[in-house]
Amino acid sequence: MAAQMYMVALKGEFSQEASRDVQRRVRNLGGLILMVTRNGPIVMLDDRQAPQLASHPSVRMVGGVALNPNGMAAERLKRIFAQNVSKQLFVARKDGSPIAGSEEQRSGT
Amino acid sequence: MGFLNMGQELQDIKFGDLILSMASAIADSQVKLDMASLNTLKVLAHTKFDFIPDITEVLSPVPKQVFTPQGFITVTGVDVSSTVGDPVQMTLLQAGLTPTFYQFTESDIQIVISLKATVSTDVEVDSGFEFDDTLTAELGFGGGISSFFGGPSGKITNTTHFAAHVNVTTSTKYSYEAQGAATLKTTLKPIAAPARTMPKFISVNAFTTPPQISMS
Repeated sequence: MAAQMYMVALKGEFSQEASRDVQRRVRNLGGLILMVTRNGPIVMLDDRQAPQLASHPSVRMVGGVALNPNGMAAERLKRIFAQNVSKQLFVARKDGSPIAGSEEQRSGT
Repeated sequence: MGFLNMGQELQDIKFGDLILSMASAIADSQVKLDMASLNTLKVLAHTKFDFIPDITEVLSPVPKQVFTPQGFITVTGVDVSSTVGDPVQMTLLQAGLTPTFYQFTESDIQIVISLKATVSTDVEVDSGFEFDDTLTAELGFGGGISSFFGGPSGKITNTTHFAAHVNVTTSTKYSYEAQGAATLKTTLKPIAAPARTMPKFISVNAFTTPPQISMS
């Protein structure tokens, strides 16, 4: 299945610190942050890494999600995702960090 | 002995139990996966974000005078004014994110059983014989009292001893080995959310008279 989109739900009340810590974990696992909400981020991650993300102390749940193109704001969400991904890809290219779904990530190197 | 009951051993393997336990494991996993997807659905239904439904742009003509060598000419300018609509709180589910459901599409169970029975019999035979032959000759000549009864006398004695032995040792070894391995292979595929698990979206368009109701 390789890279999938996940909704990451955080434990308890929203905290900026916990949210950032989880986002950092996602980036360290080679994932990308598509959107950040008060309940937790929507991320793209290699499915083999999902259990590791779920084990983060601030994470309550990691569940796979899909984008329904007929949704009321599907186009808007797509645009938000694309903008956020493009920024992270730019940063990743500069610092050489792995990206979810890329060849080096799939081969586990 | 085990090797005599190989057919029985094969009959004793509970294929029905194996298949039942595999099916139960798959059913349990399917329930857990569905519960996880439903939990995701709840999170999506409760996660709101500010959605700006519209941005209105008004293009207004702004004629301008531009100087050229031939004199001033009027060009059509344009002024763009944007009005951003008030943000609307919308859930991620309304926006179009749906939980992924998974389904076990096919499952294979492979059982490999290897039964090996060996019988080996060793027979050791040790035999031998001993032969001993002794020839004794005794001769006597006259003299003394023997001379009254005749001449010389003699005796030849041939003694033969014969002994034979046979040792037979028999040993039989039985060995029985049974090995079994079971492989379970199953395929998990993402599927569209079952219609009954997803809420219906009812939209009422109050712009028209009477209001139009649509469901999706």
